[in-house]
Amino acid sequence: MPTGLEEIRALRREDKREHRRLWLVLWALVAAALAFDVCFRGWGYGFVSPLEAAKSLIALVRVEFAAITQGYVYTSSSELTTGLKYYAETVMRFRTALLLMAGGAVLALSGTVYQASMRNPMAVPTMLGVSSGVNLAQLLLVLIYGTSVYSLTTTRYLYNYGIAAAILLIVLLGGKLAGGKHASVADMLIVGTVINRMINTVVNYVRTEMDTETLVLFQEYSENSYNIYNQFSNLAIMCAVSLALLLPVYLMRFSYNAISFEDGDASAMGVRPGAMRVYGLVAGALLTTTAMIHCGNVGMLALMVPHLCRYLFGADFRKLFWSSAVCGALLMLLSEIIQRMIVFEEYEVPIGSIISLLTVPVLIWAMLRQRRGWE
Amino acid sequence: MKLEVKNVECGYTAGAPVLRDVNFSVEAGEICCLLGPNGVGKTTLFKTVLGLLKPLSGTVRMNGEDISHWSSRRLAHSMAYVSQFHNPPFPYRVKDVVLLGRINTVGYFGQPSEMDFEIAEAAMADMGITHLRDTVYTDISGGERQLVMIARALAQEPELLVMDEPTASLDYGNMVRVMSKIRSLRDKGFGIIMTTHSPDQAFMCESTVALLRRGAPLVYGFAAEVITQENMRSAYGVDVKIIEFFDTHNRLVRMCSPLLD
Repeated sequence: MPTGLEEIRALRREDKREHRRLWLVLWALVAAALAFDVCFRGWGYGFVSPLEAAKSLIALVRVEFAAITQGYVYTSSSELTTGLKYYAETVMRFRTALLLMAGGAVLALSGTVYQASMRNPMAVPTMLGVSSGVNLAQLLLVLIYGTSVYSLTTTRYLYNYGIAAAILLIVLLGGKLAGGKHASVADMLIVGTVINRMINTVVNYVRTEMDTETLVLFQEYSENSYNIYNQFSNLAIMCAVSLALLLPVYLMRFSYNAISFEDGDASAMGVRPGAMRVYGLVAGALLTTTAMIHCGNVGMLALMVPHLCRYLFGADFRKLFWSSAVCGALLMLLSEIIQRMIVFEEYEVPIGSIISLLTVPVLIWAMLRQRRGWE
Repeated sequence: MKLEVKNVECGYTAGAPVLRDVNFSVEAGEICCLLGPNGVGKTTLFKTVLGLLKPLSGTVRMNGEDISHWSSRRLAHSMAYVSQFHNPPFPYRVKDVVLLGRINTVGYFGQPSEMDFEIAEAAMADMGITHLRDTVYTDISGGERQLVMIARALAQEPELLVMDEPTASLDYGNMVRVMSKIRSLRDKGFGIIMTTHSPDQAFMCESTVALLRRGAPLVYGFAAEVITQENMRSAYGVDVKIIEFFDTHNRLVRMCSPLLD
């Protein structure tokens, strides 16, 4: 039995080395997936050489840098397009890949926070109903603005975030009203589920009444919204919103372990679980919403990634925080690569469907494991 | 260290107390067993002692200070709760669970330091569960889980340990092992309050006993004085016989045996 300080320190050193190899593999996979994504041009079109892609990306950095510092790097824009044949598409791919990776990381983190707060490994942040606001916003945008929805960046943000915020408010107040003095998380969930159902019913009804042109536009917008948010400014907005929401969770990443236990247990450890739980729910729902605004209907990723990460890294929230972010980014990127490889009669399968398909085996496996012991 | 429960009336709504006139105390190096039939209010009393529930009247004092206005952080620093194990829904490992005992020291926004790790490891070594540290908490046996929960409480570095049926659903061997760990903790100077359904356990750790009875005042005193034929009948409605004998080390052992029809 190790009682001496030396033995304890040796154990600690071993702990720190524990997942080193796993992390290396994970980062290598991320780098490989990113390189593949940027170079891959689609089924039957082949690849751009990595060297060419790298040149384009270096040029991109110089152009952006010049834009910021008001300097110039190229004598003319034609030099850019003729000298680097693949510049435009490589840059587009790169931006989309970054957006998707950030979206995947945000979604995975939202799932991790939400599941810890719910004490339920099967919980999804879309359950609170806030993300259905995105569907409603997209529907309204398509109905009101038609095809010009693609150019109205500010309006898009206003509708999406405005409606999501309104629904969050309704869920919180409704839950408070429904529960009275002892309002709990369960009351908010019930209100959220009802709102979720109502909005989905409305959206589905309106969809059946749409003409084909509007329907295609709506589907394209809601399924693949990452294609229209592919500017660096969009990426910056998503990251800013997400980081603001994630900062408290990051700082409390050790304390968030406590609320995975019973309330009485958590308070005996000196943590007041109530506020942390509500913040976890709200932050989880808002993070998913943010990711869905930018990346499309991809919420299922929030369910799958925490499972994988708990299997690979254990349940400690401090480890889950980082690992789920990286795994989420990786899986989102892989889903997009798979999506670009599958084309049915010129119709692309939406990325959300790919993610849902990938989620099924993970969920079945997780459920089997759960039956074996984890409650 | 001294915890005093004075004239406490506890319950969930004013005017309808679950228990009244509760008086007992625990000092460092002393075990106090709460005995009583199901539903008599042991859990309610526990919550009151832990500061999770405000007493309807009377006071709970820790070292002479009323705890009703203490923050949960301060409470967690002076007393640690060993709950009946509920499985967390996630596959935490033993070392993660024990380290959580440090939360109240590092605070909401803090991260455990090397010292916190060392304290957690020492607590595991104390309970003899270091070999389990990398095992998933839900994969170990009930007795081991109870030791993990106690280790987590020790990592809080409290003065008082509050244990809710520490031997519930343990087999006989595990029960004896856990009880002897509890005795060794008392010998190290911890004050311990525990609920139990077995009067023998109160004898086993030479504790004081607070016997809760339905509709009758609480009886408090040394185990040998409280666990008597009359008191057991009035608390549980069963007849018992107290057996006394000397063990091989010539120590007096008491046991409580039910008299069956």
